[in-house]
Parts: sequence; structure tokens; C-alpha cells
Amino acid sequence: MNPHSLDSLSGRTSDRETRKRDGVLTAFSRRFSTIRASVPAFAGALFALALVGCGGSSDSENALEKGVNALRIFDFDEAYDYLSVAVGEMDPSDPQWVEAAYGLGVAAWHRSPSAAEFIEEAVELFQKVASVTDDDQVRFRCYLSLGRIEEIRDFVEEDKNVEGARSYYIQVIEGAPGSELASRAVFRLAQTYIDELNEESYETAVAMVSDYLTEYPDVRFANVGWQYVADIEKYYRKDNRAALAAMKKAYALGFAVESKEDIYIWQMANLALSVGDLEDGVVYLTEVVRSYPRSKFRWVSQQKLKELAEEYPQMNIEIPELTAFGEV
Amino acid sequence: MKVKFKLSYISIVILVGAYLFSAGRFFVISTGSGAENPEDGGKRKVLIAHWQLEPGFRDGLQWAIDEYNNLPHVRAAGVEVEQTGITEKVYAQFMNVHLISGTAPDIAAKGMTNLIKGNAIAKFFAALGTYVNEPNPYNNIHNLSPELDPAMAEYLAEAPWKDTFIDGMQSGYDEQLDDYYAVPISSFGSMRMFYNMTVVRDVKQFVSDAIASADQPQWLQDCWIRTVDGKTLGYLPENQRLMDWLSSDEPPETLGQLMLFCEAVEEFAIETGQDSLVPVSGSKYPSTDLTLYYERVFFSHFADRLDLSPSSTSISPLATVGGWVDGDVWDFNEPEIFEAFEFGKVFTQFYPVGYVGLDREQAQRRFVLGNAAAISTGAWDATGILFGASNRDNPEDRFEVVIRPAPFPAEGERWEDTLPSRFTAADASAGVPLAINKASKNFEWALDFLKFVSSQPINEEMNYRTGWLPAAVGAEAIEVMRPFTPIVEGRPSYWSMNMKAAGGFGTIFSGQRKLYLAGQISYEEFIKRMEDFLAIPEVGMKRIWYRSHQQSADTMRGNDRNLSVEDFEAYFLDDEQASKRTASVLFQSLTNDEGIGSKLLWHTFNPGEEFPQF
Repeated sequence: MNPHSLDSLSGRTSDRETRKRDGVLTAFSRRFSTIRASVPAFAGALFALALVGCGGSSDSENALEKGVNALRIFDFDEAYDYLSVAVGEMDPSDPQWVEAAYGLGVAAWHRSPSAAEFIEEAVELFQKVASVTDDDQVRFRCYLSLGRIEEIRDFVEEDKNVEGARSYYIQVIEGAPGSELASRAVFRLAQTYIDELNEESYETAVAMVSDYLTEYPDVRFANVGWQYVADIEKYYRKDNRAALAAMKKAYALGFAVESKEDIYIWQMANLALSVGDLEDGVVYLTEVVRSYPRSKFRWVSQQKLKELAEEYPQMNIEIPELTAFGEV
Repeated sequence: MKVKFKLSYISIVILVGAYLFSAGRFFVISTGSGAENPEDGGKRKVLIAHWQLEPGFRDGLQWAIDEYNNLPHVRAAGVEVEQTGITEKVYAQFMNVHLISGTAPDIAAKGMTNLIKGNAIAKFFAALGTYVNEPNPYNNIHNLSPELDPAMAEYLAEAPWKDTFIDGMQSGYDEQLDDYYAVPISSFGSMRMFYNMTVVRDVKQFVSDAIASADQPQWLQDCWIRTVDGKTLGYLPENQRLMDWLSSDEPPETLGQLMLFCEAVEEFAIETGQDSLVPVSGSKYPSTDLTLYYERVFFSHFADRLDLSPSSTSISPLATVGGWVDGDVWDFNEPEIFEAFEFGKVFTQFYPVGYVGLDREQAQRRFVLGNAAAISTGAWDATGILFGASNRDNPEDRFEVVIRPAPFPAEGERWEDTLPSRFTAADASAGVPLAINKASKNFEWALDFLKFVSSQPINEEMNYRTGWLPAAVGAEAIEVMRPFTPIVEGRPSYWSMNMKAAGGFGTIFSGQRKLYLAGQISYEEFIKRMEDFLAIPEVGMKRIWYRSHQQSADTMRGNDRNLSVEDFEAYFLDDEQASKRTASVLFQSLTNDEGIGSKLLWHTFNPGEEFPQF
């Protein structure tokens, strides 16, 4: 049971008493002083009834399992409650403590609305897990989470600590080079530079990610990284040629967001045509028409191919047909 | 001592009684003892909630439910599916309350509620990703009609369940959560025009007579396209295409013909004394207001100029409004934009007087009563309209209805350049997405029923009875619904500018637009009022920047939550699917991290200036 509900109830009662002392309550409220006096007892009765009403679930189920299940459906409040119990009943030497404490850290971090006390608790948990665990995968996950907490503003009053975030990301990059965790750390580190919104920082970010992916071409999330570089080149640096080169690498590895592949290939076609790469442009436009029957860009791709065919007859551009809606 | 009875005690007794009843009922439901009702012979009820109260839908769904309830294995298990239709006016509140309290129906139409979205969907509805890649057993080749094309039958029997939907089950897919959460069972198709063919034929004859007259009436002369003082007037040329159409039995095929037709209906109504007859039954219900449909196309010419941040594939309201006020990327005097309002001003004159106060039912009733030559709406209203038109009490009042796509300008007609094509419906989604309540005690039966109702033969028959379009591949639509088949040709709707910027600008735009279209303010005044609003420091453009940034930062916070949970599942629970999803979530998290897209836009439109803070 969440103790905060009791706190808030008593808080409301004392607030009401204060308002009474200050003469805010009117004669109307005084007529019902009997009822007011019975509020704490009545609330207690309701709370007890609520306990009865909600007490249907079996006590034998494991708090860790319940906490993890709640976490999996993004119920951070419930996950926090259960995992707090689980962690409280375990010793850090317990084999399941790391999972429980890490999960509790995630739950505390992402509870809504966020508050300083929860963020502090999350930081303490991630730090403790990182110091206790002998599993590098867990330790570096803790550093990534700690870096992210430092990097972003979880609640209005919180200050960002970009240098603190960078320090955590660098620990991951240096500690697990060429791993998927390092990929994530490199991209996050690069993003701290993009946030500065100036040409020099864009260049730093692109170099950081490109160099890393060149050194580890087969690393997990390389597709994400190249598409990220393409976005920086196109939207921040306005360099369509460099954007196309990076998109081609992402395309070769498979785009991370499968449901938007057609949009990305349409974008590649436009990048190619914008730098005069007609052949690639035609290939990408044809791909959108042929392979993505549900694409919003299918008809305009076909129209563009018709325009190009008329403008450049020597290219012998073949115009693919549109299949009818719902055709298998 | 005698206790004096006070009237106020009654309220306490009622309150306590109500609470005890509620707590008791909650206890019964939460312990699962409510799943079987002794009054129904111990049957296990599987309840479906939806808001489709249109004529025919509940009957069609009930047929599918009855068929399912009669299946031997369903009867043997004592399972009984039931439906409850809930008006859309209270559906959101109903679902919010019951999902949160754990008492929601087993299956519910997903949507309507703004509360249960984002990763809250995963909290309340069951993920179906594990099941969608397996074939639907009810599409077993023996269940399918022998008349079905053998290749199609083979495909349906073997294809993953998700690939047996016309939209690939995209309408049940949640991009943010990267999983499937609903099963669509019908399709809406695209918006269409419904024509009263009695009026169409009479009015076309009226036009033909007017054209043939030695001295063409002024209203007709005003319809011929021409340029006066550099300004284009009229709608279409008097040419062979027009003559061919007039001699055919078709409703208007081009926008120019539609405009001529509407002008003619007004004149025809005056000459024949039909005071209540209007050209188009418009109302405040968006689907019946064609100007909104065309306006989006008029607004789709600046996609290249406004594709300035990587976060979105469509033109955001912030880019739209910021691009006008701060970026000078476009303005209201661009021909395409100005013409959108010119068109709107002309076309709304074909609606009934005071159309902004009329609702969907009133618009439909006007058409069904024969007091409008045309109405625009979606397939969901087709059954009601067709039934109404063909079942008037007086047989002489009944009329044929023909359904056609909204027309676009032909060569030589007005707005030919500014309305180049419709939007594509290649990505049209199936509708009525039914999701399974995560707290349902009957998950397996709910899933089984959804497989049954989405199988080709059942889905075809159900939608035949419903009068809607089917959602299953290979399911034939009834003849009258075929005009709603999505048209794949057209430009992407992503290109349309969106005025619904954060902080109420959308409401200002919409309100002032109506005043301008009604002729109550000038175009200059319309623009000035929007500019004045955006100049207000507390609520204007700066606030829009701030709020839009906050909103996108909040969305990205949702991505962070997803990423943390997916990563936790991938590593600690060895969940391969979760591991795959991290790549997608990571990319989305990076591209608009902390709302960087809005800051980049600000930086582009206002170089060197500090981002607004409040």
C-alpha cells in the first residue's frame, strides 16, 4: 500500500483546520462541524475498506517478479513499490539484487511526475549497482543511465550537467570499446555537442560518430549511427552530398525504423537528385514504387520518374506500375 | 440521551453504502469471480465495447458474435461473446474509468481517449506481437469459400495473421511501442461525395437548356473561366468535355463541373420554388465540409521549404506557423494560400445558411430528405444515407444515390495549378481497431474471437451485413461500398501545412477563417487578427515556441522510458524482441533529443536570438 496516500489525506485535513482557524470557512461549513470532526475516522474506515477491496492478489507472488512485470508495462509507480520491497528484503550479495536494484533505479528515474527525491534515489541506485556488480554490461548500463540523467532535465527545477554526462559516456566508450553500449554512448556524447547548435559542434559530433563507425563498421547500432550522421549533415550542416553518403551506409545495414523505410528511401532519392546523381535517384524512386505498395510517396515517386524519363530520354528509365489497393 | 436525527446523516449513509457496494463489486471482479455469471448458466462472458453506433454495424458484428458463440469448441467451453455499443460522447470517459479501475470490457475499440496513449497503451492493452506472425487458424483453407481464387486461398491460409489485413495490420501497430495492440475488423475508406441523382439529372438538364438558349443567363456566363483585371473569375471553359459530361448520366467529374453544378442548383431551386434545396449539405462536422478537404491540398505546396528539422516526416504546426511569422518561409499572400480562402469563400455559399451551427445528423437528414444535391462524408455514414434515401415514406420521394470521389480541376479549369491532385490513400488504414484489455481474465478467448472475426469469410460476411468495407485481404466489398476503395494515386498528405500549433493558435485560425469565409471580415483583417494574436507575449508565437518545445521534449521523455524498459528486458530478461526494438527507439530518441528539432527551427528562423523561456 502506498503510504503517500495517507500522508496526503492527513495533509488535506490539517490544511482544512488551518483554513478554519483563519476564518476562511463560512457559516455553511460550521453547520457541518460534526461531519468535519468525523472526517479522519471516516477516511480511516474508507482506507480500511480499500485495503479489503484491493487485497485480492496472492501474497505468495514474488515482489521482484511483480515489480519487473509492472516495469515491462511501463507502470513505474507499481514497479517502484514492488521493487522497493524486493530490494529492501535482499542483500547486495543476493544474485537477484542487481536486477532488482537496477530495475528500481529505472522505476525511480521514470516515475511521473518526476521529483528531485526520485532522481536522487535513481542516481544512488545506479551508482551502487555499478560499484557492486562484477558484470561490465550492467555497470556500463548504469553509466549510460547516469549520463542520461545528468544530460537531461527530468523536472523543471533541475539543472543539466553536460560535463558530468560526457564523463559517464566516455567511461562507457573507453570501458567497452566497439560494443553496443559504446555505440549508444558515442551517439549520446555526440548529441551533447549537437545541443550547442553551432557549426563547430556539428563537425565534432559528425567526426566522433563517423570515426567510431569507421573503426567498428559491424558494431551494433551502426545503422542508427549512420542515419544519425545523415540527419546532422542534411538538417544541421546542409550538406546533401555528405548526407546521402551516410544514408547509403545506413540503407546498406538496414534502417532502424522499418516502418519508415519508404520515407527514408524517398529522402535518399531527393538527396541524390539534389546533387545531380540521377542514376541513384532513379534507383531509389523505382524502389519506392516497386517495394512499398502502401507508401504515401509511391505515386509522387512514379510521377518523378515520368518527369525524369521525359527530361532524360537517353537514360531509358522504366516506369514501374502502381498496383491496386489491397492487392497481395 | 436521545440522539437527534439530522438530515445530513442520510448522505453519509448513502455514501458509505455506495462505497461498500463499489468495493465489494471491485473485490468480486478483481478476484475473477465475475468472469462466470451463475445467472447465465455459468457462462464465461467476453464483452466487447465500441462506439460504432452507425446503422448496421452492431447488426453485422452481432452476426459474427452469434456465429462464434455457436462454434462447438466455444459452446463446449461455455464461452459467450457479447457487445456493448457506447456513444462516442462518453466512450473516452467510460474507458478511462474502467481501464484504470481494472473493470473494462475484455475487448475494446482502441482510440478516442487522450489519457490512454503513448506507453500507457502497453499498461492497459495486451501486446499482440507474439501472435501476429502466425497464420490465422480461421483462415484455414477448409474454412475459405471454394469460390475464392486458389492462389488467394493458399496465401490466406499460410500468411502471417498481420499480412491478411489490407493495411498489413498497421492500424493496430504502435510505432512508439513498436508492437501490435489492436486488430482492425472493418475499413472506412476515404471521404466521398454522395449525389442525389434525381437532382443531378434535373439540374444537368437545366444547365443544358441554359447553354442552348440564345441568350445565356448571367449566372451561367459568370461560370465561364476568364481573366478580368489580372484576376481569374469563373470556373471552367465551355468546351466539349463539358458537353460530354452534360450528356452523360454521371455526377460532376471535375471541380469546374462541380462548381457549375452548384451554381446551377441554386438557380434551379429559385426557378422551381424549392426554397429548401441547397447544392451541398455542409455542416460543422469536418467530413461534410469540403473546403477543409481542399484546403489541405492548397496548403501542400511548401513542403520543400519547410522540411527543416529531422524529427518529423510531416510538416509540423510549429514549422508552419513559425515559418510564416519568424521564418518568412511562406505567407498568406502566396497564390496557393490566398486561393484556398477564395475557394472556401465561394464554396461555403453552396452550404445551408448557418452551416457552422449544424451537426452531422442535421447534414445527413437534409440530404436524405432531398433538400441537398450532394453531401460529402465517409463510408461509415454510407449505410445510413443509402437506407434513408431509398426508404422515404412516400415512394415518390425516394432517390438514387451515386457515390464518387471529390473531383479535382481538369485542364483549363480554375485552381488547376493550386489543386494539382488529391492526397494518396495508398496507406489507408483499416478501422475499428479492437484491443484486448490487459486485465481481462479471458485473454485467450478474446484473442480467438479476434482471429475469428478478422478471418476472410467471416470478415466479408460481417461487413456485408454492416454495409462497411472489410479489413481482410480477399474479402469482397458489397457493391455500394466499392466507390470507397482507396485511390492510390495522389500526393502525400505529409506535405500539408498544419495550423494547429500549440497554445490555441489553431482555434484562433479556425475561428477567424470562418469569419472570413462568411464575409464578416476582410482578408487583410483575417491576417491581422492572427498576427495580433501571435504578437501577444504571453500566448503568442513565443509561447508557441516554448510549448511546442516542451511537448516534443515530453515525447522524447517517453522514448527514454521506452528505451530504458526495452533495454532492461533485453539484457535482464533476455528478450530478443525487446533487443530488436531498441534500435528503433534509440534512433527516434536521438533525432529529436530533448526537443532539439524545435530549437533547430528557432535557430534557423531567429539566428542569434535566445530561445523563449517562460
